[in-house]
Amino acid sequence: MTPLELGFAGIAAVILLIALRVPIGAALGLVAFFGIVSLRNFDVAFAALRTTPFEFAAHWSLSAIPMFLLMGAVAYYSGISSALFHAARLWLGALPGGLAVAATFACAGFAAASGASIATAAAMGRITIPEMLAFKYDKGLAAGVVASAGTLGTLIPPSILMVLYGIFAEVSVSKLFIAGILPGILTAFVYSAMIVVRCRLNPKLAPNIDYEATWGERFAALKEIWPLAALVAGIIGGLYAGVFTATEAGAAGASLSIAIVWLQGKLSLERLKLSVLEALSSTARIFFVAVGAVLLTRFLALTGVPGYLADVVGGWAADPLLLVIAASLIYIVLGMFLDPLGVMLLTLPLFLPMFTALNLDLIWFGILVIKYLEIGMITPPVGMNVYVIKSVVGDKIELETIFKGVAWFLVCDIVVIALIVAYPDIALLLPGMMR
Amino acid sequence: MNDTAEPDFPAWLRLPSDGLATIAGVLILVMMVHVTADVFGRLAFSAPINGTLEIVAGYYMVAVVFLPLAHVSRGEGHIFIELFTRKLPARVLSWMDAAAATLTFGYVGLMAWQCAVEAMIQTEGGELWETADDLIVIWPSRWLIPTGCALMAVLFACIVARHARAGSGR
Repeated sequence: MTPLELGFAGIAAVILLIALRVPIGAALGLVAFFGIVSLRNFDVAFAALRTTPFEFAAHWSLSAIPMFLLMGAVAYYSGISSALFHAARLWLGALPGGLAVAATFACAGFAAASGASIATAAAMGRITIPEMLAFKYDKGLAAGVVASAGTLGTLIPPSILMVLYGIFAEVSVSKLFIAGILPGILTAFVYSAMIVVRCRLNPKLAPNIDYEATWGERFAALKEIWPLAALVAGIIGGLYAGVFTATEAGAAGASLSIAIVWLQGKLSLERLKLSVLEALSSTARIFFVAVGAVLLTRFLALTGVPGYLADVVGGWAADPLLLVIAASLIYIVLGMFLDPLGVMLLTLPLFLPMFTALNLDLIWFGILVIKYLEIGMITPPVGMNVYVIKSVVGDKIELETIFKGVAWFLVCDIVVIALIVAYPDIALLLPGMMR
Repeated sequence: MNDTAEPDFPAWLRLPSDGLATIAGVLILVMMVHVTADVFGRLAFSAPINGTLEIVAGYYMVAVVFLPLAHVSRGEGHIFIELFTRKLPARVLSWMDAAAATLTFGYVGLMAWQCAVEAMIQTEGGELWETADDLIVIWPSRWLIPTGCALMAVLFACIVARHARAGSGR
């Protein structure tokens, strides 16, 4: 086997192992290890295994990841997800498919405290799906909307994947965070428009709920959520003004969210413990996958796969639009089979030089990459958000039904991506105004 | 996504895995307070805490990432994908899970071993990092990785053993 063939065989082996239920981090790491052994020798493979875990984890900027995860977990255990859905429902419930629209915006709200799609989908799914099912909403719509709107967790700041992208692409994480705001809001609006139109055309999807809220009730519902909203606004404002970095914002955000929840009288030792444990679990899992992915990129670099792909894509790369389309295809195909972290760490060494060579904006590309990765979160067969929703709903909804329900939202995502490609200012307007 | 949960998680593993997770839990909160104090000190008094960056990277992060590995693996487990396999009979699934656990054991075990070798090298060399005006000792933190990985490897060895017992009992 030539090194190149070995590289592609390695990627195939990773996909096979993942399909055979090997934990993703172990699948990536094992293939990388034995790949390096067969290309070089055991000494080189052992050296990679010895140094990568420490070098990767012992990283100041990456400390934003556990901190934002802690902030999201504290927000979740303070009951913010049901407060958000309650408020969104009073404001938006009267629309056709109102509960699904409310779920979309509640996810967007939770996303502003949480940096992860899976956490957002899980937190909001537990609250919103049983409610939609109780009102006889179509199962695919009820599950699909939360699986899809959960992806806003990564697009709307804070965002774990943006922290990693920023480090690997050497661009400002603060700017990426700010750049995600408008595309995130746009996505929520496009999803909502689709839901309203579909439910208007086919009322069976979402039976009308005869339920009018008074303005008094609507404003009363905001009382529960304003302290965290103020915190999020403070973080975004601080990042925008350059008062602190994203890493510092993570720690301060976690501290302040604990302080707010404590002042609201909702902080028990038990809840703090659960929040910390959840943040730890997610951190350990993310880094376990990431270390495997870093090892695999080392192996692939030895095989020459990145250079080969660069040559293939390079033929189109003179035209920025074709390059973007090529990147979309590669991300969407890889995203179907690998988890977002793996896809991102594998592809950035390939695409970043090409985008730099064409003078394309790496913040803009970052937002596109995040959007592609989020599409990978909801496409079969490896759509993490769909699996999370499945684990939330149990036997009530079939996996296939959720994937079908998601299809409509995928169409919306493609529309949003086309808009961001056509009008880069959707992503770049706000960061462009930063100092 | 599903559980690689270990229903009859051996009691003697509970104490060390809870212990390491507790240390990591305390350290994630300490990291939060430390960085917040640093930011506050810088903004309010132009007096950041020296060495924050190095301590966060060199100690807190390593502890928070690697110490809870065993605890995490026994709870909700690592993410894996079931679309291809969920229609398979339980017996086949059990074999596959045994194989997956063996592979995971192998990987994490190798990592524990090699990171212990590295920790030994760094200990003998007395690894230090330079801060703005000081030196901090980093080598002890190197031992956190083999500790966390080794306990996770033990856990997966137990899972393999349980599958083996269940297999031979049938």
